[in-house]
Amino acid sequence: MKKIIALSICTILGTLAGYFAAPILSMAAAQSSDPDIFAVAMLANYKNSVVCDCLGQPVKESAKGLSEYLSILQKFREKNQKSAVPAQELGLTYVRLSLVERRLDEQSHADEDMKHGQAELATIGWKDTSSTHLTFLVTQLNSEYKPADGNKKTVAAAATTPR
Amino acid sequence: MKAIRFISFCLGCVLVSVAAGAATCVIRAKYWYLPNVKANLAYSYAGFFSEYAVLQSNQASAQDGKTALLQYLGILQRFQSEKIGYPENLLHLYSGQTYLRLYRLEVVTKNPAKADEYLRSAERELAIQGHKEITPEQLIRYTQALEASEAKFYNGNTGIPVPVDEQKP
Repeated sequence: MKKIIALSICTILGTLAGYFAAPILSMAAAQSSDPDIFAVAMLANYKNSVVCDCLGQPVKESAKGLSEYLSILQKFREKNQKSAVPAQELGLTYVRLSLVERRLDEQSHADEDMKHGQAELATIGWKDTSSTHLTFLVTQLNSEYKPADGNKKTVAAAATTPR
Repeated sequence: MKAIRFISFCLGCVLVSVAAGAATCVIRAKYWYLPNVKANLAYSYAGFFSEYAVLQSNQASAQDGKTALLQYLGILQRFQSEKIGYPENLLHLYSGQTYLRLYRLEVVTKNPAKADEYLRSAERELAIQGHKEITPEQLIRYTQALEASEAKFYNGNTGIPVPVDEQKP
């Protein structure tokens, strides 16, 4: 009888451990089955958290978050040199950082980052890389992350379906 | 002898525990978590590329825009063919919208045959998505409205870069 009870307890404990380990195993399986999707999805999630936080947290924290995101993007680009995606994201993040630095009265850093952003976006064929246009564009893009309605919406997604 | 029996019993308990844990973990991961994780990753991945492709088509040259949109379309088609748990109707809606953007770029670059092909593909995708009665004229009007709204949002103007009136190839 004691043996049966001991074995039952072991089974329950094992089942519980397996139950809680399943999410970790799933993440590992998803990562190994498609590392590209996993990497970009993680990047996208990180971006959402950084850009969302940019709108609600102290300016210095925003600058720190964006700088960290920039360094992650640079590493990502080293691994995906043929893709234009990291260049666009880097360009826009430099512009975002520049706007934050302007609010911190770090004009020289702001100008430097704006130039980096303009250079990145010019390499992927953007027609208007003037500081005025990029400032407008990033402000518009940031407005999609406003926590007011709680949902991120893109113009494309918000567009009504044809009637 | 007693000690050996005790040790074997303990090993048996460990084995039972590990087997139960492994079975629970694999079943729960395979049938519950993994499809959800994959769908969430696909959603983030497609969203990231969607923003990239839309911006390229609005801010870069027509050729760069087409390249980005085709890349995005490829991702959507891959999700469809691999049966990743991405909502089917959204895949058709986003594919339809991407075909319409491609149509617009082909009109701009004066490639009527390709533009017509994309317009028909958009019609097909949107019909699968549920818009069965849609006509090419309605799609052109929709493209015109989409273009105007994006020009206003991304470029701050109400004008349309290239006239889209009478765009039917």
